[in-house]
Amino acid sequence: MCSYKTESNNENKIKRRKFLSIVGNSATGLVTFGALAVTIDFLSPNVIKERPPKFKVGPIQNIQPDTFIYEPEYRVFVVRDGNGAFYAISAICTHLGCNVKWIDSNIRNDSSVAIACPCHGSKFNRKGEVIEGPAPKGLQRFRIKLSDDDLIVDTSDIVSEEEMYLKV
Amino acid sequence: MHSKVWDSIFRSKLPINTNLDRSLVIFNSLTLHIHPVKVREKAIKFSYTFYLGMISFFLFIILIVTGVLLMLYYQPAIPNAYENMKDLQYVVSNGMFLRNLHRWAAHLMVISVFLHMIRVFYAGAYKPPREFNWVVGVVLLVLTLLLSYTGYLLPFDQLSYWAVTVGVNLIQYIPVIGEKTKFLFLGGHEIGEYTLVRFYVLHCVILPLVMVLLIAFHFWRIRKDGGLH
Amino acid sequence: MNNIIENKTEVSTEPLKVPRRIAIFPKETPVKFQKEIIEEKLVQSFPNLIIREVICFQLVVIVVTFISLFVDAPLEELANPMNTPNPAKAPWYFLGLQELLHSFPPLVAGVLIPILVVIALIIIPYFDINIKRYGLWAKDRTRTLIYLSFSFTIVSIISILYKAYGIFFPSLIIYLMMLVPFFVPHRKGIIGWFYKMSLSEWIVGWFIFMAVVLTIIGTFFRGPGWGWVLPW
Repeated sequence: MCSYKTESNNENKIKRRKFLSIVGNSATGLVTFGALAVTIDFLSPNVIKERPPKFKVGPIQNIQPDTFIYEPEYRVFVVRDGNGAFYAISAICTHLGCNVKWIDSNIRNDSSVAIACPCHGSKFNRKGEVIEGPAPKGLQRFRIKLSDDDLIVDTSDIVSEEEMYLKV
Repeated sequence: MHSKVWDSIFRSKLPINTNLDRSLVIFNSLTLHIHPVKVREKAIKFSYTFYLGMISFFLFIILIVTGVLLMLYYQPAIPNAYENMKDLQYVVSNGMFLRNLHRWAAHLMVISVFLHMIRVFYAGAYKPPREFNWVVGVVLLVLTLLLSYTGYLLPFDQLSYWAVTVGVNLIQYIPVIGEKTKFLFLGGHEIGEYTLVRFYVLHCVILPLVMVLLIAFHFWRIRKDGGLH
Repeated sequence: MNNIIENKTEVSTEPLKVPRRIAIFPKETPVKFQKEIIEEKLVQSFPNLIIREVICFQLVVIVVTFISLFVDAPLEELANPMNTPNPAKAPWYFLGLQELLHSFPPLVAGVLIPILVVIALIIIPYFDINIKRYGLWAKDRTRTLIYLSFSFTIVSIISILYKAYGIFFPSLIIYLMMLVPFFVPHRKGIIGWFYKMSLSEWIVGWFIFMAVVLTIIGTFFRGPGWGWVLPW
């Protein structure tokens, strides 16, 4: 009887020890995880001094069909195609963020290379679609609006190909 | 030489004549943590290891000394960082020389660490019981590359800016966490003031600290795994 | 532990047919069970090792000082986000990677390949196989040839598909070097050396050769638009 009691006590003790170690380890894990989360949160800045997303180009009469304007500060091409419609595409290569350059401004069709990236040799047509090279997708297209005689490009509003044109 | 001061610093008594004295030099000093009293004659030949690990370590020492000195003339801000580089070049006495030392030692260290790894591989020196020290070595190689890379942004010239742009944009291709990680590294959406400070802290504090700890561990493991003995 | 070969016993009444055999020992005992007998000459660390370290340190300082006296670290104009230099190059030790980025999708070249290389390096010592390093052609020559050619074909197809000739040609050279001991029975000099090299040594050799070739291409042979230029 006596020995039986000791045994059960021992078993209880082991259970208690196991329980306490589980509680202790989970508490440590929780605190570590929390500390990590707080640190990551601390590391992402809430206020960044960056440019406002919208900028103005114009007046539109100055932009001839089949020409483009490069806005260096925002790194955006504002293009007027042969039909007189406007569109805005990003000049930041989708591959690794280099600035692409317009190498041939006389291109009229969509199948030829108009824009090239100096870093890894990606090539795009005048609508910003990839023709060759490592870029995974086409250049970003931004919404463009008309306000009086000026064009407003909103670099925070990325649109599909159908939506990108502004017909005047 | 046998003054009280000398004896308080160095436990070995001069002159050192017998092998017992020579053993005591190692035995009674901090060196015992790194070197055994006796080593295999073959293991300390140049043709055996080409001293590549040693060379990497000495280059790292040069990098710490020159790096700390360079910090005294450097502000991680735009455009101060670049102006400081110009100052180092034209205004600070021996500034250019110090910057050269730091830059070329860094490049040489990348080469010597890489060669060290190749040497260890072809000698089969990673086999048990040294397998974990090989892993520490691989981590040290990665740390060397990261240190060199974070230092690359600090002059903030065209070379740094675009090399770092290309590198950081790679991070965003990591599935799921890519975008967030890139944002944390840059402290914004593109390289700016925050990025410079982040790279500065990584380059001058966090990475060297980890590096020093791991180097100490690496050396200790060589001794424990029977490196030179 | 899978190196241990289990003991087998066979029982028969005819001793000529089946001789008594209790245990079978493999011809070559795995390295980790071999008793390491070091009866090499030992020397005092002080001064033999210490003096070498001091001289090494002095030489390193002298070399770095000389380079720094005569070659200036580059400094270009202030960083300008509006103007990408053409070509924009990473530090030289990442140019091999940049060369890969030119041919392969960024997820593969920029994330998968570096991570796989680091993982491969880390697990090297944990693989028991080939720890004694048999020569590549030491066993089952035909099967080795088939496996080798198959792997090479896959590497070639992928690299040609992506127009990564910087990978194809160095791989071809290594493949031909590996084949030499198969066709040439000569076992001395450089061919004998090739014959002795194990598979893992060949793979790491291939990796180093690739890294060097790609870095050299990226550093010297790439110009505007990452196009091919000659450095002279």
